[in-house]
Amino acid sequence: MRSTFRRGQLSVHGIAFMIIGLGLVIFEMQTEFLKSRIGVTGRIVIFVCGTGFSVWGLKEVIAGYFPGLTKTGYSFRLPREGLVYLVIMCALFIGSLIGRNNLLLMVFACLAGPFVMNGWITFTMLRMLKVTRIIPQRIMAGEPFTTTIILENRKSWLTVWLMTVHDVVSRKEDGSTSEVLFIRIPSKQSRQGHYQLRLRQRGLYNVGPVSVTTSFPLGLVERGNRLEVIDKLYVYPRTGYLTPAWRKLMQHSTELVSDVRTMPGPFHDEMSRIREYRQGDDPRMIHWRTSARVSDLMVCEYEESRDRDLMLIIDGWLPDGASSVQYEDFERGLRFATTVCMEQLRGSRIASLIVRLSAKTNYDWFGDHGDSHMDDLLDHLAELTPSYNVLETHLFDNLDQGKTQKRRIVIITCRPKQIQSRIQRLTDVRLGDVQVYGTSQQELAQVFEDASEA
Amino acid sequence: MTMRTVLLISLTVLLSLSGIFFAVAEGSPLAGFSLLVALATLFFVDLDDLFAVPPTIANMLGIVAFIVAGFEFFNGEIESRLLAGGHLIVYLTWVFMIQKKEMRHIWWLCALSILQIATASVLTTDIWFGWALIGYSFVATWTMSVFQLYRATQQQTQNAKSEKTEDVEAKFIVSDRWKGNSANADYRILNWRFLGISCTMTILGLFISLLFFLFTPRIWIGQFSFLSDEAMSGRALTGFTDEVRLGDMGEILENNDVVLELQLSHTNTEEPFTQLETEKFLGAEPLFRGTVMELYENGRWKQLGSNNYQRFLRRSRNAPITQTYHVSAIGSPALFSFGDTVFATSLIKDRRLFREQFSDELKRDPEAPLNQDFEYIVQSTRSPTDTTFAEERSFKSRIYRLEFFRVYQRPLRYVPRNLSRVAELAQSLASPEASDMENAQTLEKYFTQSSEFTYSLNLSIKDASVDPLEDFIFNRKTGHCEYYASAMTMMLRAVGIPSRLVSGFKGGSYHPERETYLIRQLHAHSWVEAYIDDRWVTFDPTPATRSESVSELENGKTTFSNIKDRLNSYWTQGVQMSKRQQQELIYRPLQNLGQESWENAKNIIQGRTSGLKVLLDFLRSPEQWFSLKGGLVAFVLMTIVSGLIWIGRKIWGLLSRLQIEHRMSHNRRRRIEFYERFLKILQTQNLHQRPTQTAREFVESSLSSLKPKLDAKGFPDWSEDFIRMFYDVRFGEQDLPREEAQEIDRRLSALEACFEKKKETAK
Repeated sequence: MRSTFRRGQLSVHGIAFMIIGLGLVIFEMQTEFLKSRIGVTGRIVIFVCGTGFSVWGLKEVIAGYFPGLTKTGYSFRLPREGLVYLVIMCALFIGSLIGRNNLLLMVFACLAGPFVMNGWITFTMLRMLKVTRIIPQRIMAGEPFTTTIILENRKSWLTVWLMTVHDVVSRKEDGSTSEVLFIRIPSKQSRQGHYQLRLRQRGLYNVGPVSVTTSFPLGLVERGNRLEVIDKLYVYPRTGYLTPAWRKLMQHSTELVSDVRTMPGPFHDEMSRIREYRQGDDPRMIHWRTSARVSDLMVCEYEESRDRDLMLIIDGWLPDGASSVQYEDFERGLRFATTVCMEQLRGSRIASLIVRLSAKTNYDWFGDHGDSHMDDLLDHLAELTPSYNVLETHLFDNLDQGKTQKRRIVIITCRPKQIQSRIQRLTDVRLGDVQVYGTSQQELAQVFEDASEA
Repeated sequence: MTMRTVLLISLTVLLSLSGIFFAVAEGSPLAGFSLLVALATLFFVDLDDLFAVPPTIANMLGIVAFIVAGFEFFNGEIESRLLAGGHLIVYLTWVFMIQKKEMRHIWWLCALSILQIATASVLTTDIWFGWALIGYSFVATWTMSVFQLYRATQQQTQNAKSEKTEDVEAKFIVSDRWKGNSANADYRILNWRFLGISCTMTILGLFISLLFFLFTPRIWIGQFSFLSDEAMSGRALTGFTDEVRLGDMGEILENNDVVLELQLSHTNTEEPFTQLETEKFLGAEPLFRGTVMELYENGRWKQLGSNNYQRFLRRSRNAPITQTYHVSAIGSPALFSFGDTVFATSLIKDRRLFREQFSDELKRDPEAPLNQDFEYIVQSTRSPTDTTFAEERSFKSRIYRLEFFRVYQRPLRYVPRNLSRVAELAQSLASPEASDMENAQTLEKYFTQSSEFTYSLNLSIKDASVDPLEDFIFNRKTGHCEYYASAMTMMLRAVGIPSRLVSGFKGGSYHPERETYLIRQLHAHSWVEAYIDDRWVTFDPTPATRSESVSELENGKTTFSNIKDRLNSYWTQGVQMSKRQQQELIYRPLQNLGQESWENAKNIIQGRTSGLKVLLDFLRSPEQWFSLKGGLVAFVLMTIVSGLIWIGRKIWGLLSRLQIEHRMSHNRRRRIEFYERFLKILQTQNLHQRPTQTAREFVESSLSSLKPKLDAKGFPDWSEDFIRMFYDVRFGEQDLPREEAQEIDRRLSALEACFEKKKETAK
């Protein structure tokens, strides 16, 4: 893995080639070195080579700064070993010219041939490749996940060797590159490789582009091909554990605000639906009245539901120029909020959950409209960007949204004292029992515990 | 066998080969010990892991290697300086070999191996080196490929091990398994297929190398020579310059290029000589005199450089024979003549010709460009060489004679100190009672009639610590004319006879059609002139086998020998290729072929020639198939065929794609217009249906997320109706009633208007 990830870097070898190209032309113009020896042809050769070097170097420099401008994603890199090899080659070439030694020139040629062959083979191998990535769309921060890379060699005859696929996972300016090595892929076949990744910070990540590099067979020249295989990856805040204290508080709160009347089942659960009897069902579950009506055994199906409706308000406020500790507190608050949401939804299908995210952008989520909403909520939690410009009043606007108006309200904020004092000034009776949680470790220690990494 | 073992064995072979090649080129067993060291380190250091020298001791050994090589460099003879560098590379190779090998050590060893081969290339010109280079390329490509594979798999393993490292944002594990079930990478990768690929790549690399070698312009820079730190002035490839290294002439002794064309005619009648007259006048092996060398030091001959040049003022009436010469550009001002030259003049306008008054050399105008041919005539008598000069000299002034005997002849008696052993040998052969002529003949016979001395173009050094001449006389006892002539010159001087080395040509062949006597580079020769009894006497100590060697080169031999000779000839041409030869052998034929092809193409385009006829003519003459023209035609035809195949495939792909699209358009799912419109409206709100969502789920989720906004605008909840209508049409195969269609159209328009209003308000 390469932990450094930079965009728009200066191409040193591009500049070197430009200088060499210009140097060649200027040298020939000043000294008439080749013109005096092999005539105008020599000068033309020098001009063509010099111009070619310069133009190619310029292209590399531009491509370094603006990768998007390059039509093709082919790249060229001279590894340290290749550079040393080139230096030896140059030394032998100059030595043969100075020493007038054809055999030394032959040794130089025997070095130059494989060097060129290496460059040509790598270029040919990189053509007609297809990369496919299989990656989950959503994962939890801190959880390792596996990405599968499928490299297909679509060439009709050439087997490719030692191809390394570099996959970039980036978020804003940060990112990392993972590598998968494919030893050999015969023509018209594909191979799978895998890499595991663990992303510790929530957010929306871009996965890709992919670059395929190889320096086979001699390792003297490395060429690459960038392929625009892009995916999005949502990394949710990592869920932790709610302590028994949270459940007690919740229960206490429910007793205060709830007037839900349900039929208690044999296990203190709520009846969910009536269905036909299946072999093995508990006879105590049989609903005799219905059974008599339909002339068939019908049983009651119960579902656990200990929690009640909840409105969760997440205050995405952070002071301007917040410290890393404050950022970490904010993230802890989000982890807590995510855990609460997950627990609430997992605990009961009929209990209502409303979430209000108030940050750089505002978002309200009403959780009683189907399962797909869960992704929307978690996506927004992943992407939530804190802001110092969050108005306190916005947190309490339109509190009567949603089906159930009798519910518990929990506010998670980095500024609990301000919010508390604000609540005291407000006249809305529904805010009388609002629970406000700060996000520092001490404040959340009673109700929430972070999960350790696997 | 693991991949590391294969790599280490390959590396051992590579290092052993480079050591052996260096040892053979050097003629000393020192570098050959690399084989033993490589084998010992392979078993004891790398495979069995019995011992390894720690880096500190290795560094100290490296310093010792530098000291030893430095000692050799500063205390040895000229060749020893180069060998000292080569020895240093060998010592460092040993130092790296005895250490535990990591990646960088292997890279270093590969680099040092290449440098050993490079050094060996300077020490020999034999054809075995070419074969060795091909073999070495195979081993080197294989080793580098295995090394590359080994590095890649090692990195893979290391990456997998580093999975547990902390303090990084993201981690990964590489766990590729080719063919899905092989845990042992080595077993799967290194097989015959990989060997085949390695061989193919080597052949490809060698082919590109050949092109590099042939087309790299021979633009020699400066006048530096490897074996000297002194600048050499005007050194040309043929060796006819004012300074030559002993053995330089060997570079041209297998070259068949014509360097000198001679036409003989009668001065009075200007009638050309017949073949019979020419052969009678020149004899079986005529000596064409060229440059004269007077000073010898450390394996190198130099001219005295008196610069007493004289012009020939008038034609002589006493010279019945006129020799007309055409000299190819040999990069030297030296001119050649046969017999007793009386008069000489240039046939090129504004170019002059001189004679050096003490050495009697003919030279062209110093300002004349050396890269151009030169034509001149020489008038001569039928007498042997020096007859005229000896007569002239007796009439010269006293100052001239004083200078000739005291200034010019003094260095001709000088024997360098490091040749004391040679001098002792000469003195032991000569007799004090005998005359100078008798002693000179004795020394000549020492070489010509000895069975110990043989003629060879092999210039391998046996003992680099002594002067090459001493190495030749006492160790090698084989060499070409330059060695024999140099040896006899020094031995004559050792017994008090002034002598000098003369380089020129010996022999040639008459070309009846051109009525010209042709002298080729392989006729180059060196001999001795000794000043005995007030005149210069010519001695040729080279064994008679030289004539056989030249004759073989001229006439050819059996099929196998012919192939061998042809290869040898190609090798020699390659090794000795000069700028001019490169132009004649490579550039000019290609240029001519290009011009000819261009003319043919123009004729075909303009309708003057039928393209089909040209092609048929070519196909009907098999001898053209295997020529340069055949290669070009094959290349053009293959390019055209490849292009046609490429275009055909592209067209086929396009047609297939169109057919697939056509088929898909038939099979495309039924589009529901009002639902498509709904999707477009929601796209403006950045809401897109995901592939994982059903229409029901998308409508529910999107409308519920927009609910606050829609409620605020008084837009009623109609999701259930909308979903029902969609499913009725899409899956129920029902048509929407007219009233419902109008209703849904109205609602969608209202929805659209609702968002547009919002946008305007935002503006």
